[in-house]
Amino acid sequence: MNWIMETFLKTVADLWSTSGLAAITWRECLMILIAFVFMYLAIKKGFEPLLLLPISFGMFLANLPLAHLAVTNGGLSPEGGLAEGLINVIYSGVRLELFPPLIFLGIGCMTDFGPLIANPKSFLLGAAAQGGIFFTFVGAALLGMTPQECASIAIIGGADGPTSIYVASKMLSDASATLSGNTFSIGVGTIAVAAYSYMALVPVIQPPIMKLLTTDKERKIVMEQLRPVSKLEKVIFPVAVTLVISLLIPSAAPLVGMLMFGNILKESGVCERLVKTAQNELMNIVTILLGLSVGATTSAANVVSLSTLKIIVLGLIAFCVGTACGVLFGKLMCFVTGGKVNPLIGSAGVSAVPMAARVSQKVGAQFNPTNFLLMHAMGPNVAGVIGSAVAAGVLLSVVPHA
Amino acid sequence: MANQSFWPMSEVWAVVFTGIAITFIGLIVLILFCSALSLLMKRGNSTAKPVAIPAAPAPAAVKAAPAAPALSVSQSDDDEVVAAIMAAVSAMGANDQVEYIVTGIRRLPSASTNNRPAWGQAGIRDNTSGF
Repeated sequence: MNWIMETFLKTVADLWSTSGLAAITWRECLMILIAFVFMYLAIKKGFEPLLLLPISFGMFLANLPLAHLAVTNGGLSPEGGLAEGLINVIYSGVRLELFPPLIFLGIGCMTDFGPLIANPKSFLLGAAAQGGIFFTFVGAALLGMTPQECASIAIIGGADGPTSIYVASKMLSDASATLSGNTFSIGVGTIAVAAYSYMALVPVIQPPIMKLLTTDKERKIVMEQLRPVSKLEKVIFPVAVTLVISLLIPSAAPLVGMLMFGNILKESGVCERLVKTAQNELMNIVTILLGLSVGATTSAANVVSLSTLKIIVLGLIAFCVGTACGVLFGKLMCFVTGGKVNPLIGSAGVSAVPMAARVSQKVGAQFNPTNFLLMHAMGPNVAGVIGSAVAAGVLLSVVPHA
Repeated sequence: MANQSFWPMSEVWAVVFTGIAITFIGLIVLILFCSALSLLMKRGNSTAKPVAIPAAPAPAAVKAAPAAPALSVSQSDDDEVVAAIMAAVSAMGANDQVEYIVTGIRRLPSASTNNRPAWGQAGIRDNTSGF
């Protein structure tokens, strides 16, 4: 009897010592709680649920002790090949720069560049709003971060999730660390969570800045109706953008090229089946895999640090400065055109499509209920998608990485 | 750029100004292209002149008045369209408990109102009313 009891107790002790409960640390508990908060925000509050829910669940899985569901070593084995495990295999789609361009393909299939073609000046607002990226680069450098970390944090200001993941995955890879001789204190997952969280907070963050920087008279400006855009223009546009941007900044070609490929599929009118697939099945599959694997990079060891706080603060600054730059440039355009441009559409230059354009419409309607700014704001909004891809290309060209 | 852990601030500012300049230059080139394309399209369409639509004054206001002036309807209006408009106004009056009297119905040329037909305007109003 004693022998049976001893064996039983020893077995229980062995089971306990190999269980996750014995191995869990306070950092992992904290990360699991944070994952629960993000799940709540995604499900209950509707904060970008299509990506935030997979990311938050990936975060949850990555912090389960001894489950080995976190991305390890950037998805690589110690020998440099593909690491084993479900999450590492899925993460190879991020590491090999596959998923973000495919997301852009789907976005291109869903985007109408008509308002932008009808009013090309909107490109300037899309460019101005990327000022948040570059000024945050300075802020991150002042806080003592490496150039690769600065670029990864700064791109959050573009308000573009796939672009943020694309740049961060290239900048913060192990190969980049080896090339630059730096050790990175931040990871792709943290950048992605910050980017998507701030995108979801666009309706909260932008209106105060817009109201602060504009006068009552400016907010009430009614803009001239946009001209109709022909199908031929809509078909030529994606080809021209791809050619121009890729020749100027080749490192932006994967993102801009896929965006415009998706758009020409849509605008040609002869590839309806492909468009339906790209908009639906392809986007959904890639979104699931991208979100889950990026979330799985947010293990406690990588995230619970002072650098995460820096990302949160600098990401917010990037967003706010981008919005302010767009509105201020809108004011400049208003002055130059003699009051024909409503500065509120400048804030839509961040590439959170279509949320930022809706915010411009909503704020404009508060001051002039008959003012329809939505289509005017869509121009800078989609220009911002191109602008953030261009800015990403510039960072990838200038900052050394592998 | 040399591989080093941290850049001097001069290099950081160089990245900033270079980045902003290149982003603007790239998008300005696209502006020029779109403007050129728009001009080409206008030249291509200039050979086919638009059908002249006679300008008409704005329709007479719908008034709530006890008097009943004679209804004037332009010759080109469809009787059924007139009947539909009258029914809609009557229904509106029933809701508001006010007697509306239609004093005139005139077709507006689409070119006079923001280059958009009335259905387009109504669609925009419906789609953006939630904002």
